Amino acid sequence: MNISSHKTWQRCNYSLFAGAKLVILCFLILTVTFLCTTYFTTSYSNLVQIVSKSNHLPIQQDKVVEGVGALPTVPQIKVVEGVKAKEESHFRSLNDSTYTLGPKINNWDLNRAKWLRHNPGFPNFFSGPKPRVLLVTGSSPKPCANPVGDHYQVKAIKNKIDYCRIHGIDIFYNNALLDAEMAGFWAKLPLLRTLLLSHPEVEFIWWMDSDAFFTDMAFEPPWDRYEPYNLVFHGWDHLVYKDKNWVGLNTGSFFLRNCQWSLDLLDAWAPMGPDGPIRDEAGKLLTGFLKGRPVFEADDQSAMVYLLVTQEDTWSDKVYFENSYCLHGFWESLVDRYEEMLEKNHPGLGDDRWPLVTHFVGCKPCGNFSEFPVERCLSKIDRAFNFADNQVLQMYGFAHKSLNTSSVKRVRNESVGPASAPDEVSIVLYPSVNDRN
Amino acid sequence: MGHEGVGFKSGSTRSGLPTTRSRVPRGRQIQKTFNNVKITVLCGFVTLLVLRGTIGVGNLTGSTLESEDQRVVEDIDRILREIRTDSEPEPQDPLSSLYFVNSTAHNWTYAEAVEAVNYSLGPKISDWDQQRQVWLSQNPNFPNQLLGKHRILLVTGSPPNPCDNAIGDHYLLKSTKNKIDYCRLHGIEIVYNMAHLDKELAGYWAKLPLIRKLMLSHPEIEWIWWMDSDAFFTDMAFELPLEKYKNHNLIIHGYPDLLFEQHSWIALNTGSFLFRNCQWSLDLLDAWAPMGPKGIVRELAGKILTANLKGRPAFEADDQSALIYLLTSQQDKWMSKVYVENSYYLHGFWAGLVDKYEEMIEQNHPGLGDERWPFVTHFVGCKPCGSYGDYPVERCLNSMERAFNFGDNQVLRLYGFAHKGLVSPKIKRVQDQTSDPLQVKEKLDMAARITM
Repeated sequence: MNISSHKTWQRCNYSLFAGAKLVILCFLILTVTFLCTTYFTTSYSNLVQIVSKSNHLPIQQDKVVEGVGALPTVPQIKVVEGVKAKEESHFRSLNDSTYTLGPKINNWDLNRAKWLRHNPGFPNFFSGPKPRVLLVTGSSPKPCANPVGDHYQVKAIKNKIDYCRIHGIDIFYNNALLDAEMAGFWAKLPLLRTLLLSHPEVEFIWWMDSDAFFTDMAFEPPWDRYEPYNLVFHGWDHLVYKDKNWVGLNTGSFFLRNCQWSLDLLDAWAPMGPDGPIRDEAGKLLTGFLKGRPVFEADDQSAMVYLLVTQEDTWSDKVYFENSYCLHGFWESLVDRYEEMLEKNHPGLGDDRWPLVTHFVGCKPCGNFSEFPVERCLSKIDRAFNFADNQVLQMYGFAHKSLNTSSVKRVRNESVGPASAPDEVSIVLYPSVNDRN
Repeated sequence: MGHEGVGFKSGSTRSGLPTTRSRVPRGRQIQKTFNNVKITVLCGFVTLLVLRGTIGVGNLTGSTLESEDQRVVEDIDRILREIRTDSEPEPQDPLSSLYFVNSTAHNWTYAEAVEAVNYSLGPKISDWDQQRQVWLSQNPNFPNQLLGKHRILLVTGSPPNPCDNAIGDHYLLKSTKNKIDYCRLHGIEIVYNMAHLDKELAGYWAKLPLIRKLMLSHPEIEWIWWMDSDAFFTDMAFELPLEKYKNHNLIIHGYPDLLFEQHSWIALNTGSFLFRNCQWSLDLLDAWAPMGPKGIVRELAGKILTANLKGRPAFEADDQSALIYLLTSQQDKWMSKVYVENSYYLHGFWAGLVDKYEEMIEQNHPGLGDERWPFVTHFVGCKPCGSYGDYPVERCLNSMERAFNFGDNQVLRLYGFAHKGLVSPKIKRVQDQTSDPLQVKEKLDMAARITM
């Protein structure tokens, strides 16, 4: 009896110990599984970050979801339109048909001229050589990844509103991605084509990046100089054709005439744009071909240089490289000299004595990844904005207390009547109305 | 734990029992003890690892990226703080020195306070109509009409500093694009103000000095149209019926019965109104301004307004209540030139409109401007830029997105696109591309029904 109970006891004891071991083992397995899961999910989100970092695109957390109703309890991390996860295979491959912006149009000049004749209320030229210009700019429809980014977008658009009101130019602010394949810097191409075709009354489209600011409110571009040309870039002939320099021209601010030639140019420019393997391969080609270009996917500026160099005979006679004024002015060499400019010069010059445009290339205030220190960028953007704003506020008798502050002070006593003849410093800021009549 | 107890009785798994049992060799017992201890230690180690992974930094590959992001975020936070402290200090109440000097505080009346502050928008002008006529005749290049339509200047604005809430700036941007679109389609010019022109009339009162300044600086402008930054155009086809207003100088949305019978503080809305550029308007602005100066004047005025206007909560004087009070108490002087408009939504309160957009698309078409297709959807009380709104933030933002897309659809339609849904920023093509785009253009009609 004793032995059997002892044996039972032994078995019990043994099984208790074994059970304990089993429990421990299960616990171990569960914790290891948990650890592995957390490791792999976080590394996926890091992958997403890496992919979009290299594409210079911010990750957005969707705060707004489709459909009316309850919002999801877990915010979803979505990559910006156009950059799809590498698992999907929706990208156009090199073997697929070439990308096109739309159906080929062949008789645009003729049709446009006919339309203009039938619609005399919408002339493409105002009295004199002044063409009807549409300034086109835009930004992503989603909130900036950088919390102050949208504030600078608001300042940028106010700046453009001011310049365009003074010069009788219409603005089209684009918030929509018209073609998912051409996301990022390429998005302007389908937009430009759409606008050219929808607005035959527009003679020139003036594309301007959202990080470019007008800093000379008085300067009017010399339109008569561009009469023989269809495309005007800031840049240098020799840097493009001889040097093949990828920054020989700048696509952040340029004029494009509304004509068949421009449609053809857009068609020739587009093929390097589609997102995915095409853009990547094209990027490699461009880096190899162009001087100074770093390694990254194809961008519209490099592609334009490549196009002009390789098809010089087709396009070069209608392309003008403007460098007598800052149609695009790289910010670094300008922003610290504003006080000096105020002392020595006056608005209306447009060149590096009083730049028409100060362009914050590389700053990317909307995104999280800037090539320059964030603080330097934002404080310099404020200076450029205030420098320009002063030229507008002056008409109303105000100015910023300094270029570094948003506070304003009165600089001219209240008048009891409308502004009479403009003095030397202020400029005629009324819209050139007779031209728009 | 059970196994610890077993382990502790090291080697004595079978001990503590009647001695009839044979003893296990000691060495074996020690080995077993070691095994148990090893397992315990291993499990403890794993537990620690898991805990570190969940509450600590844990992830090895992510650490460098995260610390970089962390630095950028800290940078941006610091810059935000700096930008915000750049804003103007609160304007000093000009009476505060008098008010607090005596231990027995003088009980100022509103009239006394106004007289002491002696605020004015600017030097008194009495002959603006004549001055303006003279200027127009001397400057034929700047007529007050374009293609037969009187020139309108839309005025809006926002504070010079970033919003307290970052999403607020995003909606300011969208609201500006919305206004740019409407004004481009209707030949209206825009002034976007970001400067504090008058420290005393800060906040909602800031529009008064701005409107006066713009009137005097732009004699070629016939109408100044003030519009709040939280108001969106939702009818891109609607044109203001200016011929109705030939004999009026102030066009404002409101309800006459609420105004004259009930003296309600929301009888009129100063979020969207038009002022004719004339002497009468300058006089009205001068009569309107006295309740505005920040500090004791605005506070005392607020008490008067709360006492006299129905439904008004107790807070400092705001421009809307002050205007209502002015127009009702000096009815004979002003009302003949004021048009209280409610045949279309020159201002449309958002809460009653935003949920009906799909229904409107189905049943109506743009160009109506009224409750069937509101001209303006105004997000009163939402305050996306500030920290405190009167409504839940998500509802406000969701609704603003819908209103924006509702308006944007009417613009995108001209290019053959539409939003995928009223809440989605994504768009889809609704008209195929063609090789004859001008033929399509001929058929475009802004007032045609929209198909989603």
